[in-house]
Amino acid sequence: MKASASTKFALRSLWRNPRRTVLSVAGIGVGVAICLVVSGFMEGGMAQFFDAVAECGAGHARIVPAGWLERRDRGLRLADWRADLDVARATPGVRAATPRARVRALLAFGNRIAGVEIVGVAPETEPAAFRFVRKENMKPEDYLDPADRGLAVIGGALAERLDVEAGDKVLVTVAGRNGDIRSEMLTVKGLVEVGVDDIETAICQVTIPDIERLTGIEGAGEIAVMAGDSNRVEEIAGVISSGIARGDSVVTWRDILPGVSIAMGSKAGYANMIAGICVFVVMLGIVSAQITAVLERRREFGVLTALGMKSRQVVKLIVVEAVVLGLAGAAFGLALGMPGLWYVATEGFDISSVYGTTDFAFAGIQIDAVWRADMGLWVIPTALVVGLGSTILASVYPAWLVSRLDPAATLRVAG
Amino acid sequence: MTQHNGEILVSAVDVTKVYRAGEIEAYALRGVTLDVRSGDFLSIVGPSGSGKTTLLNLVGALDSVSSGKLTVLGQDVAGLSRRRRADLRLKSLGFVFQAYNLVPVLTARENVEFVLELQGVGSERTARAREILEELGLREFADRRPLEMSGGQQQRVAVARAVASRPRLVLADEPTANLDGDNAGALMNMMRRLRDEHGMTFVFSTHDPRVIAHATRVVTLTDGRVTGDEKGEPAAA
Repeated sequence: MKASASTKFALRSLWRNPRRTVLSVAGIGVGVAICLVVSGFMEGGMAQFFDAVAECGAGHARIVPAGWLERRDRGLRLADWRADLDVARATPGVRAATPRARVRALLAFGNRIAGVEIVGVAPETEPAAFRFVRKENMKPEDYLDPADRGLAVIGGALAERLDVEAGDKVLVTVAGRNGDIRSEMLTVKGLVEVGVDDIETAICQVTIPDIERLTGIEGAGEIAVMAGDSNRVEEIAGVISSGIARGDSVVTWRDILPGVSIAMGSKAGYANMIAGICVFVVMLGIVSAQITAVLERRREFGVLTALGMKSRQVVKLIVVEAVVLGLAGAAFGLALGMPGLWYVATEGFDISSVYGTTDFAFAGIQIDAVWRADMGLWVIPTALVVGLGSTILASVYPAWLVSRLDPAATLRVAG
Repeated sequence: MTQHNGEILVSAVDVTKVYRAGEIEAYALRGVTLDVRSGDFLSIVGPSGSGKTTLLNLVGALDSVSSGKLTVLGQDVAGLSRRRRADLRLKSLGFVFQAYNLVPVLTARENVEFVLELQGVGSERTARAREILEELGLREFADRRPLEMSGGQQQRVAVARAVASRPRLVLADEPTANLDGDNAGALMNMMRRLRDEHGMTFVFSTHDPRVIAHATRVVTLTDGRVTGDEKGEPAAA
């Protein structure tokens, strides 16, 4: 399709001052590249964080009994945990689902005691949902087997506090269903070494039958659900929710750890603000360049207005120029930002160099110090939105300026 | 040759134009009463500052009167909105400026096409632009940009642009100011031909005797007032 004379005017006008056009494109490109890298880094880092939160005990989502969200009562049990488990495992996008039951307990060995939350687990599926009991942190043969009874795995720091080692028997005391005190001995089968004392002192796992016997309460109190893609958690939760037993409900990690959710939201918002400021500064530069480009041609625009060109047609010319600049800037930004983004996506960026520490653990969550950026097809629409959006916005004021030109005045001044 | 019926295309009655800057007032026109009839090849003459360009701008709906009544092609321009005035200029008037004012990044043909595009002419505008340029003897310049043409050639292209839509009234502000004798003569002959063959009426603001020599009517402005309105004796083309 042949370009119209007005389109040719707009396009060729960009090359009246090639240096200015190139600098404008470069400025837009830098802004786009910054946005891509910051967004990719934050998206990747947040996804890693969400996975860390999920794998440190919360799960991406969790099937819980009625009333759990209001009371957080460990004694509550699911209406039909086996059926719920089947529903979760059959849901597309779920990579693992595992049942759990919890109870607060006192462990005692000799004259040492420690308070801990004992988690009853299904050992065959728990490592898929709880990263600390994987082979990186303990020998598989030291972990629980489904048939184990009277055995427990505890964190290394907890063992140190109690002064126990594998093979020792500890006294466990819990409050039963009716508030009665129940005690029995458990043998320490293995120790979990994470490297973070706060996490290790909170680890104590037994099999679900052992929890049932300890508490006198049958069944599982929750099912931890792990998603293959942390961006689909809400969608997965919705699907599971429609199939589970009546009374049971699905919550996400944001409901389980609202404080962490708010903190990470603030971090993401802060990063977005930084990227937004960068784009805004670039935009100001583009506005300045566009105003200069427009004012240099005020006589031409005055003549065209004198010939009968309407304000909206003048604005269209300016917008066409802005669109071309934006597209070129987006392409340049992609070329500039992609290598860096690719590097951070594959090699990662070690944030311990920024924070000056390698210990990234809080609230029982251990975060990997090496953050990897997210990189995918989203970079293209993002580059286009940032590039086109900033140039079109930047052209609003220059377009308004030129649309208000008094043709008689411009012709008189220069004539 | 087209016959003109003497219809009044422009009627100015007691038109005054005042420019104000703070408390300072400058009268560019004072009580101008004047008609322009179909077929006129009218020169508005006078020294610099006499109000020639101002009068042309008012007739061209580029500026608005301070008082008085001005009717152009049947429309009272004082009551027109900015958009309606643009429409009047686009569809019914042609403009030729002193400094050619072609768009420098477009070729001669594209400059003419641009105006046709503004008027909403469709895909045939390229052919029409070529036709106009050919009619005015400018075919060889069709694909040249203004920098590749002489002043005379540029001004002739500007005339082509002005008459592309076959307007009834063409306003030319000092069209020969930057041209030598031969080019000025060629330009004036071109415009006379357009008047004779296409029924266009021309109004010039000028103090160039080469333009006045072709006029069928000469209106003299002095200090913003009409001080003379005489029949001209146009030289042979």
